[in-house]
Amino acid sequence: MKVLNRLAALLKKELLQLLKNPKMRLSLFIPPVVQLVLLGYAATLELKEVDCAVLDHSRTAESREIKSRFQGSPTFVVQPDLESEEDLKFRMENRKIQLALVIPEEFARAKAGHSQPEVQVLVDGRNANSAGLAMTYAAEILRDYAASKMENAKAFRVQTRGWHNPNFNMQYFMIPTLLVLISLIDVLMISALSIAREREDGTFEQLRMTPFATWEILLVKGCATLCIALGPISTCLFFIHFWFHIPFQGSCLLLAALLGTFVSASISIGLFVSSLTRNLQQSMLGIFMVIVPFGMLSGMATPLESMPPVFQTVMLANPLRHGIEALPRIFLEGVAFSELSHIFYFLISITLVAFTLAYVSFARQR
Amino acid sequence: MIIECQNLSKTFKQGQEKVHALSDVSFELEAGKIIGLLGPDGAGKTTLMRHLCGLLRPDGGSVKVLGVDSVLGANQIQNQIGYVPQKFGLYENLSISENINLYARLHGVSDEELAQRVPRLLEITRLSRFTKRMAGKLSGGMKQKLALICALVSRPRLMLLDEPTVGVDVLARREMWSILRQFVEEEAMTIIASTAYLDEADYCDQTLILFEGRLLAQGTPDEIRKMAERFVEDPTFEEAFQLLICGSVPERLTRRNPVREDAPVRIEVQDLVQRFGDFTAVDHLSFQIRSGEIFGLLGANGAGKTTTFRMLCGLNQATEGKITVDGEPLARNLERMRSQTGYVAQKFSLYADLSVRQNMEFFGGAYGVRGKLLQERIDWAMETFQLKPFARMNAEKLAMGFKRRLAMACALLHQPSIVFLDEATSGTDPISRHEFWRKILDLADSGVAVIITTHFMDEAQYCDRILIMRDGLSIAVGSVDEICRQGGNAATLEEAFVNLVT
Repeated sequence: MKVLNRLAALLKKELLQLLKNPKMRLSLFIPPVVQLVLLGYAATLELKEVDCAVLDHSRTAESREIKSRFQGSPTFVVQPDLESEEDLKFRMENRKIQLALVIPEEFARAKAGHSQPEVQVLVDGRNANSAGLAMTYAAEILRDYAASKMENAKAFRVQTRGWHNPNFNMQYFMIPTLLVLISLIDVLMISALSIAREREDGTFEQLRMTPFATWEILLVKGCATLCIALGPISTCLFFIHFWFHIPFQGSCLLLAALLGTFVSASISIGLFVSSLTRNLQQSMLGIFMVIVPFGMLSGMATPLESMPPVFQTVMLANPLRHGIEALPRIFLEGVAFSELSHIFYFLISITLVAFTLAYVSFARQR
Repeated sequence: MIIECQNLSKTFKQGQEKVHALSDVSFELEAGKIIGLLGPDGAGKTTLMRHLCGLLRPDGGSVKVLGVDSVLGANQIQNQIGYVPQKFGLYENLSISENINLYARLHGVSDEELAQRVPRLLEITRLSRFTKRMAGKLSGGMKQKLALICALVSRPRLMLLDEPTVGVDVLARREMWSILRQFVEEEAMTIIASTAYLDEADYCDQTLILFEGRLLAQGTPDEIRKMAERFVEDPTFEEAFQLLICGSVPERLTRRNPVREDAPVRIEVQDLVQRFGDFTAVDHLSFQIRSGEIFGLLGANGAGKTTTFRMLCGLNQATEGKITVDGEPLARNLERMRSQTGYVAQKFSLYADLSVRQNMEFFGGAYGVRGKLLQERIDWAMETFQLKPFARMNAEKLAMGFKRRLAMACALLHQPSIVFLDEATSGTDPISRHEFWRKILDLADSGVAVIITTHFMDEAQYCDRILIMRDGLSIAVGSVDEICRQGGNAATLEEAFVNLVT
């Protein structure tokens, strides 16, 4: 009973420290929500409005039809025609166009005759990611064109259907993903900085002189961070549902449980990072050292499957990876707990291991 | 007259309140002397210094330095004086000689003059052997001396030093003052140095006494002391200061209930050793602390006091040796021991953004005091430490003296039977310090074991027993009289301390 009272006093102090200062309150709530809303519009993997141009040596009805198909596509913005190979080179080098279509002189003739007609697609490969996507879209348009010109229209048609996301709306995937990313950053900051600040103010020493055991201090700091993080996270969820209208197929309970374990894992990592640092500056650097690989290797920007196997194994310790795998599934697919049990297993393991490491690292500093 | 200061006033805005940093300060100073600017933290010493440098514009009155008005001729003044602020901008990753060269260039000192002057400066400050060492790796005292050299390369006519002796030990302080004296004599320079240690007044030719922004008195140390002669025999400078502040000299403190020979031993330390790698910070230390005893741990910086202190508190684990509390090993009873211990850290370390009451509630709660008892204890603390008017104020807004009181109050809420005070009074004014010590003596009278560290030798006088450390070793233990005897029959504790430590 006495222990509980002491812990309650500690929890109250932690919450007061985080919530008493109005500036602190604002900085806890506003940035995550603003980030979610802004990035929800801005951060997309879709390619839109690619500037392209045609170098038409053929100047026939056929070549004009190809051009008009590009004009009709939402992906491409067709710029004035290219005049020569030099013009093409110049405009591509100066980033006036990202993609160029070269239609040779014999195009219409070849089509009429028996030889195979050829079209060249040139793409600016400096950003390999968008170049690849632009190439795919262009190839698709050309394939459609070719299919429509088949004389015996018996060529098969490809029917595509996106499960759980019929219109391939990128936001459906990006926004739940952003939520986990933003929560991770938010929570790492709160937990690591609360310890770093106490160290700088000298209050950490004072705290350790009280009868609290090291694990009690860490546990209560973690719990306080969890309580605080629930505020911005639920505000974000509110926006996701009522502002972005992301469909929600899953169970609220499962969502809460997943976010809870995800945040706990992140907090434990934050505590561990701060156990290795001496002051605010080092803590900030430590957090960034963790966030960058976590973000890059989470499956958000690049497919997990294409990482070297070693990384795939190492990244099992990345809570973001699990969050990004699970959250869109809960939102869009409405999976049951049984299908996500492995995710819970990993997240809980991360929490326990990171917390133990933080504890050992703090206890050794005596 | 090197400085003429007339009706100088300055107010700062702090939120919505106005703080009178200086009010109506007037004085004149002659050249070729060491002038001490004395007063507790927050008295306005730094503000006055910054006015003398022309860094601040007075709200009222005027300052003339070297015959030049500080507002109109700020640049002219700054070219002729040297100023060493409390945090002097030494480049931590440059060596001593690189730092000196850098500052010499900045002040446009020629290479010949530099070559001729620097060896002498290094010799006086006894830094010659360390010229290649990084500034970041120097001790506090050495850093201060290096800052002094950097400010002196350009041969200023007037030197302003803001608390050159803060946070360094008695030895380094003595050395600093003797260096300053040498400069004044060799270079016909004037030095104004501020300090919060009132016992340093005797190193000065003239003193200016500042308190809460007002100039209380100006005079030689003897003149100041004489003022208190009507009240006490053979007054100390501190007593004179107390007289100036509140118009009377408080009684000298004595124990009402001295520690008894047969008082039970609370803490026993046997052959305590702490090693950090090859370095032995504490070397086979043994002592006992009894119930009702005030035990002082003294030593120069780096002697191992803090390490010992931390081991006693259980913040560091001893490499070897035994610490027992009430006959039981500390390591196994850490939690129980801590629940009966109060701790006041050297730096103010309470929660700055929590109110006075919230701090008390937290620390009381942390020690398991709750409910009605907690309210009673908080009421008691508010009363005893006169914190009631500030109950809802955030701790960071308190004046230094009140911060110290709050720290003490938080440490005593759970009625500990062992109290650790790590330089708990530094930066407070003489009146608060006097009240503080009255409380510490009362605590000891009621049977609490008190362990203190301090740089003030006059505070060490109150200790029942003192242990003096050097290089991790205990070099003297005993009562004040015994220490004086061991220190070559010295007349004062400070003298004995210096004899023992050097």
